[in-house]
Amino acid sequence: MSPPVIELHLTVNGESRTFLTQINRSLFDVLRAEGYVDVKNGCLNGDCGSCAVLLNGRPVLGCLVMAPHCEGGEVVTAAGLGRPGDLHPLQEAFLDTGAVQCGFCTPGMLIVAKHLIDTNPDPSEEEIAAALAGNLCRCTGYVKIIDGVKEAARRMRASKARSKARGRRRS
Amino acid sequence: MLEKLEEYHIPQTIAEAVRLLRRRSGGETVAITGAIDLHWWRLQSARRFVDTSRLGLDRIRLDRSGLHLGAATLLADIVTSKVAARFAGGLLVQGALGLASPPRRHTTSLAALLINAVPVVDILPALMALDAKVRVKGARQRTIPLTELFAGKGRTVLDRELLLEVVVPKPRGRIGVALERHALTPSDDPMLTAVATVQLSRGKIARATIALGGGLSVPVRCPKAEAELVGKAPDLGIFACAAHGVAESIHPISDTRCSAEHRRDVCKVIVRRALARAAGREEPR
Ligand SMILES: Cc1cc2nc3c(=O)[nH]c(=O)nc-3n(C[C@H](O)[C@H](O)[C@H](O)COP(=O)(O)OP(=O)(O)OC[C@H]3O[C@@H](n4cnc5c(N)ncnc54)[C@H](O)[C@@H]3O)c2cc1C
Ligand code: FES
Ligand code: FES
Repeated sequence: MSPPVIELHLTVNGESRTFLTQINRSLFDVLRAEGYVDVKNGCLNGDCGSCAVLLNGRPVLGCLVMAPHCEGGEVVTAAGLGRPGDLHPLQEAFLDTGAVQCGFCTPGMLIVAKHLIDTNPDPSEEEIAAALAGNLCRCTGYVKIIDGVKEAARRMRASKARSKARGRRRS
Repeated sequence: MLEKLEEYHIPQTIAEAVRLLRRRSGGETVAITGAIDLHWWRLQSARRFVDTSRLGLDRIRLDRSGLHLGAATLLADIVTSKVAARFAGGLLVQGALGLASPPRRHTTSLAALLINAVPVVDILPALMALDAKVRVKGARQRTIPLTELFAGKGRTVLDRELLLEVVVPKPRGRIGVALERHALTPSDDPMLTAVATVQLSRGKIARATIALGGGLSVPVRCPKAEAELVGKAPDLGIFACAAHGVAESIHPISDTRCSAEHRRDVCKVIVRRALARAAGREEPR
């Protein structure tokens, strides 16, 4: 008997979706099969971090999480962080600092960095390096990726301060 | 992968999870926490998964008996727990950080580390040094000291039982703790990790515990060396002597990182350092 097929209900990048999947599939398998090609396969072993997505706000490795476990969950992939013309500050800063070379590791880096900045808006270089310890990059040597995360965090803090000041002026 | 899997259950109660785990008919049933260790033979042959992530077993709480860590607690939640940070000098937080990759910490549960008996995550020797016990439920509920849980490489003494929680007794009186990890890089598996706790009374060692993890087949405590320390003055010579004794008694592995012989040498240094730090006698480096 081959593993049975179930319906899987997920919100992916803000959109409610129902997928059909065999119960032995990983979240990565489902997302790739459905065309979320920004979720990358670097190893399918939990070693490289390139399949990272946010599941209910947590950065997880899509290749190690069982699909049925995610039922009812909210998934954000790197493409869900922003869109062309309206990029997320992390995506923008990665472009500006040259943090992207071949780009294969970039989606996973962005997801883990997003969780870091959400929980720690002003991370030090050491904290950024520690957060990215599970994400491998074969191109950049990491320096520019760390610069990119730092720059994004700075821009996000500045933009938050600006909107706070505007709010104060209005009231 | 997992080609034999026929059922995936997400029970909402512990009773239902235990009932599923104890079912004998229709092939092998295993508990998982939703994430999986793909290489693990136990999971590859499974016919039925019981996902334990929605049983409310993911809480961290402190009461009079000590710190309770639910079996499905993720390492990431131990790292950010204020309760865990205040308990026993934050030793368990330091242990959880031994698994360096944050997305892996968000997918790895305490139950899984214990059931797989993986010595390379520092939290296992940390729990062992703090006299942790596990509460499990099968036909009946029982409590097993961590020192009796592991039956050999990758094996435990559990028999179709659900791991409910880890209980770490509150240390009686003041306790010094230290974790010393020796690894090629901060994010690599340790070649060896030593954890020590020391309690002093009137200038003498009243109680000491030593646990080792890393390049061993299972994490271990070192009762002989611990007993020999009691009643002695906490000086560096005594600690060096204890560390030699520990190095003689362990059975380290040889692997790509280093040889068993090298691990024994590392043991002499890191056990001495851990004991010295736990006793507040930091040695010059
Ligand atoms: C890339 C990579 C790096 C790794 N690095 C490390 C490392 O640095 N250190 C380290 O120690 N390990 C490491 N591991 C191994 C890691 O420990 C395992 O992947 C992990 O234990 C699996 O956790 P899980 O939560 O996914 O467990 P699961 O796969 O859900 O469960 C593992 C085992 O525990 C059992 N189980 C789960 N919950 C219960 C319960 N409540 N009651 C009874 N039994 C239960 C399951 O049946 C299964 O046998 C690594 C693995 C990978 C893939
Ligand atoms: S593909 Fe998942 S960690 Fe490499
Ligand atoms: S940019 Fe190529 S792997 Fe990171």
